[in-house]
Amino acid sequence: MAERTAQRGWDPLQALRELLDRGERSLNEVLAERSAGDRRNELRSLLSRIMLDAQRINWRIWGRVFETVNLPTRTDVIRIGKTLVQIEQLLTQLENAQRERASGAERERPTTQAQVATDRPRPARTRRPPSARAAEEAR
Amino acid sequence: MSAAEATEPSLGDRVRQEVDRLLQRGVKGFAYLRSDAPDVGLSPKDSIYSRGTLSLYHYRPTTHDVYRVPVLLVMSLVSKPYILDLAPGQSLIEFLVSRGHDVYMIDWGEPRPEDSGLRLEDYVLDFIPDCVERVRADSGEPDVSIVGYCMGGMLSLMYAALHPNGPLANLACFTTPFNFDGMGLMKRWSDPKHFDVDRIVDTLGNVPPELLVRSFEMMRPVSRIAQQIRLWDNMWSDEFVRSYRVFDRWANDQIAFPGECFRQTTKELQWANKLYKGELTLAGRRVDVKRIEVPFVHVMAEHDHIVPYAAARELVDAVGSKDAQSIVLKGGHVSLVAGPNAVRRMWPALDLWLAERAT
Repeated sequence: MAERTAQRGWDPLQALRELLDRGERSLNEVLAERSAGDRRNELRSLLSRIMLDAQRINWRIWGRVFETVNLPTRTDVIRIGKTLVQIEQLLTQLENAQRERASGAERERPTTQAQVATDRPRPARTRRPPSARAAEEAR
Repeated sequence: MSAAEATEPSLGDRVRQEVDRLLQRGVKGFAYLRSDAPDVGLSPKDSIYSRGTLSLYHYRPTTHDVYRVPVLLVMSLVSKPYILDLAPGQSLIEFLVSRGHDVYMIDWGEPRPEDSGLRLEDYVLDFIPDCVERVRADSGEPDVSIVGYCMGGMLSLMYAALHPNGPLANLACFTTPFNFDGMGLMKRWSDPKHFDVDRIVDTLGNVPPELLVRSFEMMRPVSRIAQQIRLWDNMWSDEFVRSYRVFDRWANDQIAFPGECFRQTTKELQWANKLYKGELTLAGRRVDVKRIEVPFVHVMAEHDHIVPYAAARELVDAVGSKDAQSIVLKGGHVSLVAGPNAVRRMWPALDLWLAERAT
């Protein structure tokens, strides 16, 4: 690279681009290394504790407000969501059971090509790997 | 006059070129600010199954015949899956489909607050096996190849170790962490002395994507500014800007980490390194990667700052497969699957590896 630059003559813009690359690499290394020191970790831990506690208090206050005006709180919404997930899981189990019953004797082998939806393109599953194709061609 | 001198532009030409680029930067810069976010994930696909936030997609074949064994892509829990299908010509999925592979993909979706209780067990012993069965049913084939990216690779690895009797045919992992002692900065930031994972999960439920994005940015604190400078410098190049925009969109478009899974990953993998030590148990079953005997390939990036090479390199020797190999490429965590080096080297290598084992 240096040889090429010398051949072309000095290009200030290219030199700036190279400086940016080098500077980015070195600064990243130095700053990332410093961020993992014990004191930085301690400080980050303290800040996150403060923010998480503030978040928790905020939710508690709003929860009380919603309860007072007879509206669902965040916990209520999450509880409803969990119930919906359980219903979804139950439906999946029912769907699976129905599929297994329908497959009957075919259970050993999953649904055949003929049984699956036909609205999507279904190319033949006969493609040969390049080595096999090359061997065939050589013969 | 030498050949080099003949082809090199003169000082006058270079000045003219820079002035031209300066003008284009101004014109295209305005267009950049006014334009919408780029479209991503454009390869034609059908959703064949959904469950909660999970969607299983089948990509429409574009060749008149396909390899017998279907390929199931397993995404990371915290990244949007369109990194594998960024844009036409910059899409691993489009490439695999064009080379005759029958491709399916698990998109985990964005976890809802009620999904905060999901654990590794749910993914490894329930969701992945369920999707594998759906792929078998849809394709009509008894076996499936799995390709896992980053954390998706780790989940696939656990699935393979706990289902040694099939129906897995081949396993390919990309930048999959295995020895968490090699996780570098991530390991030091999550030092149990300071990092209160219980407080985070108990308060927030799912770990918000902003926290993940900032953590990744903190690993390279200057890169954001440097990228902005590079963007301005290359604003004249439509190709550079297009590529920058799709990568930038993806990098800032992470998804929340399900809380319990984050707690488990931090305590059992990051702190206790149980996967590497062979001590990890899921629902009472020990995850022993030695039990993986299907053909295995691990693609790693030499300069990966998220999953460093040190955390990934030992995996290939740890699995029990006789047919096991690793591919190490120059580049980083993202460029490994979607950068120019991926297009030139990784995609063809993966295609060939899968093709030779897909009949």
